[in-house]
Amino acid sequence: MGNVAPNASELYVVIFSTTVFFVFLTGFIIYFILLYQKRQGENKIERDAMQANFRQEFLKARLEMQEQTFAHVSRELHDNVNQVLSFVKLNLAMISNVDDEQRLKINENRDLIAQAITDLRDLSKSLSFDYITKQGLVKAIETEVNKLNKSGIINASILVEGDTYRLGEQSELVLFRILQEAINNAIKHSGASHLKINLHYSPEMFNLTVDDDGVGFLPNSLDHSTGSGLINIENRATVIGAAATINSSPGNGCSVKVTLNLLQQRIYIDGNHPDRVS
Amino acid sequence: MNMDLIYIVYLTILLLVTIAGFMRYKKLSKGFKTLAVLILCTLISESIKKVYGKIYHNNMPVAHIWAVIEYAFFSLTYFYLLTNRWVKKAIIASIVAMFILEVVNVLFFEKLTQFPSLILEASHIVYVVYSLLLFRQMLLVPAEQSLFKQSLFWFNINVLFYATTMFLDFALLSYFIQNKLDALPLAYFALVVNFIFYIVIGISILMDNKKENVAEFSNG
Repeated sequence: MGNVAPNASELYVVIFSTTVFFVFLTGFIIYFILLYQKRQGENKIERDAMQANFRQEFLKARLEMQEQTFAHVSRELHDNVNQVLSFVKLNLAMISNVDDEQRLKINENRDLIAQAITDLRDLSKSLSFDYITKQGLVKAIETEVNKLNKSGIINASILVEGDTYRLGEQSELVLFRILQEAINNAIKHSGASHLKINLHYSPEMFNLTVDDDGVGFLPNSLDHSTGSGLINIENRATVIGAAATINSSPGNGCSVKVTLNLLQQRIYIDGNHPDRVS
Repeated sequence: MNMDLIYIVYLTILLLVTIAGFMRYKKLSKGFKTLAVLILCTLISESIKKVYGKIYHNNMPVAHIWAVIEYAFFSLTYFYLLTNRWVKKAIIASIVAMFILEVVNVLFFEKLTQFPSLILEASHIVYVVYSLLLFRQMLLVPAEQSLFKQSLFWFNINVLFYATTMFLDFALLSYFIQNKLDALPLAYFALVVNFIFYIVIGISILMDNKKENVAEFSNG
């Protein structure tokens, strides 16, 4: 092997090759890091979508179970308890050979039973999926408002703005359940005397707002039971592709607002979530 | 610079990495456990090389044996890190092939008293392939954890850097010797690359966590 001294051009080639090598190596590492981070991002989006889908399915299943329970209780109230009470009322009417004082007592009891039958029928209706979907959201809410006002627990009013239209069976049912949850929360926790329900229909958007004049609360300071009611509202809204916002502060009552973007909801319904609970 | 001092620094780095490896041994994934054993063996081999060199003035026989053992350990590390069945089989086959190549090399090309450059260069090429395969696997199944917090990333990038740079160093060394140039800078360069290599291995051993890696690989 000849020991030839390297000329300048050979050395330049060596230096150039070494530089190219390190540039290439660095370039490869940077490319890998960028590609990996891109893949991580894609994976995260995919995972989040899967989690959201799972959560949605889980919520739907839970609501479906809840609706089945409601339907069962509603049927039982209507077919069993109401029948028994009607029978008792009839029996009371058939009692004879009593003096005036006893007759007065019997009539009082008959009135009380009649009241219980009416209340139970109303309750049965408000639990019944079929009744709510047949009546439509506005009628069902009006019935609920009348029931509340009749009970004297709270003074409720309803305001409907815009031209009403049907929102789909599932959406209307879920919105009605949200309203019931909001009313329940107001009665149980807020000490409110007045409840304002607003339904706003516009061509692209539907808004349901429930305002009470109760003690209010700091949204972050809720205990488990109150908090879970509000979380239920948010979860239910998610199931129909709506957004629920709850605003409250001490002394200023509470406002629950559910916004249903109808354009978005149409896409949502046409997708993987059929507009039907059971 | 005093070569004995450099050697002591080198052995100290190896010793520290070995201690780190065995202190965290139970927490390490299988691949990194193999790596910890490899570092211990490297420390022993480098010590033997030094003593052997002092006694016989040529430590190349140790280098020949160590080249094959080191290749086997590295291959075994990648055997545990890579998940593809065919790749795993190929890794096992390559260990046998490397052993045969070493025998052929000693018999026909580089005697026991000569530097085992053929085996080392072949090993480095295979390490680059291993490293690229692991990068591919990482891209196919990206973990949630930040890339810079992954022991696998640091280990693999370290191997890629080491294998390619040492390959380049060998090539340049051969050119320098052929042209009677001063090869001392290249020797220092190789030393620095070795230092970086073992320090980064130590860091990756400190970062490795069996649970995280098990979660990553179970997706694959």
